[in-house]
Amino acid sequence: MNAPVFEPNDQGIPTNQDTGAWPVGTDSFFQPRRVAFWVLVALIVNGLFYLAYMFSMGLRVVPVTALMGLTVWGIYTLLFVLAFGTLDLLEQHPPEAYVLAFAWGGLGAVYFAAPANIAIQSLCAKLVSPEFVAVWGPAIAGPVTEEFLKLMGVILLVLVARNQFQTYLSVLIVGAMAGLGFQVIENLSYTVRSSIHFPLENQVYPVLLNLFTRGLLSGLWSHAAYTTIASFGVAWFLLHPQRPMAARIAVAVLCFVLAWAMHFIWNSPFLEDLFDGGYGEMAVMLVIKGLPAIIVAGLFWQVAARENGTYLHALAAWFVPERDLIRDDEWVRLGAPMQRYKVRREMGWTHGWRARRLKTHLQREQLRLIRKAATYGRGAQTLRHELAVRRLRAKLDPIIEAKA
Amino acid sequence: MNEPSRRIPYRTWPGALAVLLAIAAYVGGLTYWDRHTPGNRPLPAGKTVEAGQARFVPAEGWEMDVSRSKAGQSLMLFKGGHKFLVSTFPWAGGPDGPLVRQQRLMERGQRLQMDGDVSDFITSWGLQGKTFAYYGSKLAGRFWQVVDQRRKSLVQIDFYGASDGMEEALADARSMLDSMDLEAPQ
Repeated sequence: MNAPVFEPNDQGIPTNQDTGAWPVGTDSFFQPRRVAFWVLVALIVNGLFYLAYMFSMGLRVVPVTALMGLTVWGIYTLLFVLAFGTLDLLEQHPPEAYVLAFAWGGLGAVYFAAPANIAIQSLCAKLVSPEFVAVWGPAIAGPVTEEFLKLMGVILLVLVARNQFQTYLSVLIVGAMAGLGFQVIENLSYTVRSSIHFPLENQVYPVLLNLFTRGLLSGLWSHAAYTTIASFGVAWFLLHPQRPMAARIAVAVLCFVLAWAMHFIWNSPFLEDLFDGGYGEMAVMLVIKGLPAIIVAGLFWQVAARENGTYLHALAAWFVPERDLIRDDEWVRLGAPMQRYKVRREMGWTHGWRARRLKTHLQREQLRLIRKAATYGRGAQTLRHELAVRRLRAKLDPIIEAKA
Repeated sequence: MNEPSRRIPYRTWPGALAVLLAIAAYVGGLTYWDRHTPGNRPLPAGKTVEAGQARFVPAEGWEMDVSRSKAGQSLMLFKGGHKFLVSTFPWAGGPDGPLVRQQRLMERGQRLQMDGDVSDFITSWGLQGKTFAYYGSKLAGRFWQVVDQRRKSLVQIDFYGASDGMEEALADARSMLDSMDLEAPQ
């Protein structure tokens, strides 16, 4: 295959000159001719039937809890997605990638996790004792099963559209989404189950209690964080083909072990003796146990964001050299989602909500322009984004100038 | 870096098959291993066993199913095709709440039918509560429930199994219930 080369055209804008090689572009996540796509879809649909059956049972027995739980955990999911969106993480892929990742975590992985966890706990009871299982069962069964299954979905997604994954961040966000799917469906399932054995007739309290303990006190350092950690290994394996296979496998295994260890600590009875049963002390204990996971996941996000920044800068320098499309200060912040967010927020404070909204759209369009140009080269296909950037700037600049 | 991505065809079936096999081997292997590992534990004759604050003397020939018993919370005994499950839960609500919920779980969730009406029971140790019989397409059973509002606890005893040998097994279940009290040390 000939490596395509971009040569600047008359206007100094690079275009794709290579027409003889494979078609330019990235694969979509709808790949009916790829086996991996059908395996992914089949396992998700299988999990959907299982979840529908379980949920319908909950709906018949504790209808208020089931419906309220669905609403509450649905809103909870939207808040996470909103947070991901605010940090521009959802710009990495088309929406179907996140839908598939979430569905894998919540449907595909959950379906297989249930029998595997039951079997491990049952084996521990038979080979050791029921007393051992009561204390260590969740720590032994949950981490290995759940981290393994969630990661299988990430691998299937990478197989479906390999060239969509060009940076660490592009793999990590899919892992986080798979973890979020698992986390939300597991929380919904626990909410319904706890309502069936709740020590009061009330069906609302179990929802609120689970939202507080599983959603607020445990939500940040739960499955989304673990799968992010494990996915970093997959990303490293995928993006370093020049390294020896042994090293790539070692990094992937190491990240998986790290995710497993964080999950193990969380599920284990460590520190429980030091705190009484009160909600205040429980909150302190959960924070202490969850901190390692959030620190490690945070470090990985940081490494991924930095690499993504370098990637974006290189692409922007080559494909979008016009400074009216990406100004110097905007160029500097391309790889820094938090800084971009800060600018939007300050824009809102200083110039109002409309300016903030315009700035948000402007930043998004710039990212889309760079990504599309990198995928297809500059031309008609990127014109929509170029026009959008110019249009948004034409609306935003007068607002800023009026205030100045 | 300055090259566009290319849509190069590649095969995914080896990877997808490997993922499928890994999941099947993991889940299937664990399930197979569990099914082929005996989970019965013989109980010494005449010795009291405990599930939470409930304690009772198992009838002769009944064994403990260790995989379906949760330490300090529930105890599953079995003999042939019949099961005797004692579960304890905290309960801070009214006396009839758990029974209504249990019937809803059985009728709507597990598709079982109630056989007759709910009735009161009292054992020779003074343990009293409510009981009802039920049946399904493949099994029949009887459920006893004791709400201890003073201790804020709930004890449920579920006996069920195949119709064959039901009378004898039910007599064993009644004798175990008759020996039960809620004074186990916590």
